[in-house]
Amino acid sequence: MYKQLLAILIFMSCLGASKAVFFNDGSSFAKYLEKSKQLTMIHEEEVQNTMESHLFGDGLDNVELEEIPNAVKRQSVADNYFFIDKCLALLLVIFSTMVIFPKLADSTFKFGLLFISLWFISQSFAMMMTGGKRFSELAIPGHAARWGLPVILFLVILVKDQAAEWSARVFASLTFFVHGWEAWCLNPPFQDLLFNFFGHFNYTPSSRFIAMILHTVGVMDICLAVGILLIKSSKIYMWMAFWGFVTAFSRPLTLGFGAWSEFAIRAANGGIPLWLFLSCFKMEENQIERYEKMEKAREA
Amino acid sequence: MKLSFNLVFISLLCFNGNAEKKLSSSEELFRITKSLTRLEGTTPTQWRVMWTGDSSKEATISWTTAERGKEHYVYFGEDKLAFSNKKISHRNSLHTLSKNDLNKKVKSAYFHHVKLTDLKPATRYYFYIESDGVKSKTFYFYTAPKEGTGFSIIHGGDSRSGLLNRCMINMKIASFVEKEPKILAFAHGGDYVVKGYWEYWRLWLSHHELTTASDGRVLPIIPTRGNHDKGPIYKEIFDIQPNKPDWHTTTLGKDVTIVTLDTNVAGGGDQRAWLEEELKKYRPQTKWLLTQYHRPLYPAVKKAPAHTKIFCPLFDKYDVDLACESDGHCIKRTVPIRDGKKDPSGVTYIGEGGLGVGQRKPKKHLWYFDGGVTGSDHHIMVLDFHSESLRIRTILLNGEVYDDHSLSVRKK
Repeated sequence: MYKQLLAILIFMSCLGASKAVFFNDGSSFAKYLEKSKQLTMIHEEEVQNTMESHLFGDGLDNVELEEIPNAVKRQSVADNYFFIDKCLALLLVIFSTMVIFPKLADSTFKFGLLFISLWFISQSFAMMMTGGKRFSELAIPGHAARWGLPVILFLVILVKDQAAEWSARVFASLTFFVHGWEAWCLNPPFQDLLFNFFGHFNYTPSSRFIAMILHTVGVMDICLAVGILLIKSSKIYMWMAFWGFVTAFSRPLTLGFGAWSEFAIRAANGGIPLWLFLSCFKMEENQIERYEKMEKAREA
Repeated sequence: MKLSFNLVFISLLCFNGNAEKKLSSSEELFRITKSLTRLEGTTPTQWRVMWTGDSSKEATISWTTAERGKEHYVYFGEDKLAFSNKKISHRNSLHTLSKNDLNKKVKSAYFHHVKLTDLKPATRYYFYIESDGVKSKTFYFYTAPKEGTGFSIIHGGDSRSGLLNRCMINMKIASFVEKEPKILAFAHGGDYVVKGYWEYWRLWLSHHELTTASDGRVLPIIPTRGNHDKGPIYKEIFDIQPNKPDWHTTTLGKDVTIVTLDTNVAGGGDQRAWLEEELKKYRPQTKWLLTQYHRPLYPAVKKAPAHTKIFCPLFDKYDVDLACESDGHCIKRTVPIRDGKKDPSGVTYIGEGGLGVGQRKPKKHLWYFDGGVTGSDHHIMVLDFHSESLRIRTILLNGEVYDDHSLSVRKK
């Protein structure tokens, strides 16, 4: 069922995600690992414990510190992490390119999809652990569409259509729910997307007006998230697909087309509902075909 | 309760160009730790002075005690031996504990704030703190002049991790202030702590004691909230009312104004309207108009936030001289930028933060560094305000001047 569509969406997500690795400061997971390693090398925990013990009476006293490696050595460790990060991102692009070709997708390369999914989950996990961003604690469910998309294609390749459909509904629901919650809570980056959007028309809306829009969007997203789980409706899928692409496209639209990767990485937000929408008809066609075959068989 | 001989000794050790090696032993860690004030009883610890308004006549003095106590005073005056004024704390409360703190059984502590008003400009004020009869050492700070230049401030950000380096940078600030007494304040660009829990803030506050010079000189902090400083404790530490925004304007007399923004909330709407109002108010008369905020609008490491499209047009419109940024964990100075292009009449963006945190590699090839500076090292930036120029020096932990650049005053 529309394998190519899923494959293209995965390719777009991977391309968007790997841009940060090749042209920015690396993936979230690599940065998280590198930072953790650096803190271990400078004995951060031991230093904290010693100081807490003396100052506040609740740490561990008299910790023996080993020699701290010099800055050059620490930098070489960081370089190694980011080299591996680039290699993994390259693999990500290779696997996502391969699955576009049906023959390759049906071969052993389909397990590459699980690698892609794991890679995306690891990024969300790192965002959650690093913090520093609003709602970063919700990164894993919030990015469910991203890391779930390869899982859906994997299930489709294995001809587990029902499982694929239900997974798609759950992944889309999680992403919409978290985004809805963020909108309801007036997540500042969402506010600025709207401020910048209206800025294109030389209109400066008030904070109250933006809050009203985001509250409405929040309620709508949460309703859609619940609706997709309860009702199998092509209209819900269609609207979610439209809205998912609009919100993803709002990034390059407001931040400039240099931010194309922001759209690409979010392609799954609209892509999964689009696939569900198209699959509805495909499933109907399949049912009709099966029914006609049965009728013919009966007549014969 | 006094800054011990140890502190001076450690300072000397740290700045002999081989600081990291010296500090790597347990002994050195122990020496630093011993020089800090233990949080117990009503002993005033974690003292600090803050500026978030007119620094020629106002300042807030704050400290922490382990126990609640009953009476908390600041005694202050121009004479070191006769403290002519006494003021009771206007806000005392327990620091909010997060779930993390409760799980780790971290004990909270009490914060106390005293707001000094009607101070004289360009004056040395001595003060000591008393909580239930327990007195602190005598400290002092200078108020900003009513007008004119001829003074400096330190700018830096990102002290959230790298605890030993944070201590070293703080001691560097203390030694620098002793060498250059014209430094009036310390503008912190945010990300004081890795997470906004009391567990981390309490250590930052104790480490901040190390910025006190050996003669008791305290540099007032001009605070900025970073993306890691989430939670209520930021407002408790810097005496910001819970219902008030974190953006503020600090005037250092008539000729230097620092507008502090908050990149953790929406740039548009209320903040944009406030920023425009402030820039409009100060630009005609102030000689040096600066902004500071956490997330870089012309970043050296990360991608630009949505705030760039909101703040930068206003910076251009009101001819901001210098924008001080943090968050990227590197050193940077851009070329002057106006309307997203290199322009000699534009705004220069500096900073990115190196007050202890591990450093990253900046993207040197970006167009706005063609004529600017990038680097990766722990640093502070010293801004010297003169009548015709603003000198920006980037000083590394070993004392090396990494960058020395001057901006000319704008023609009216």
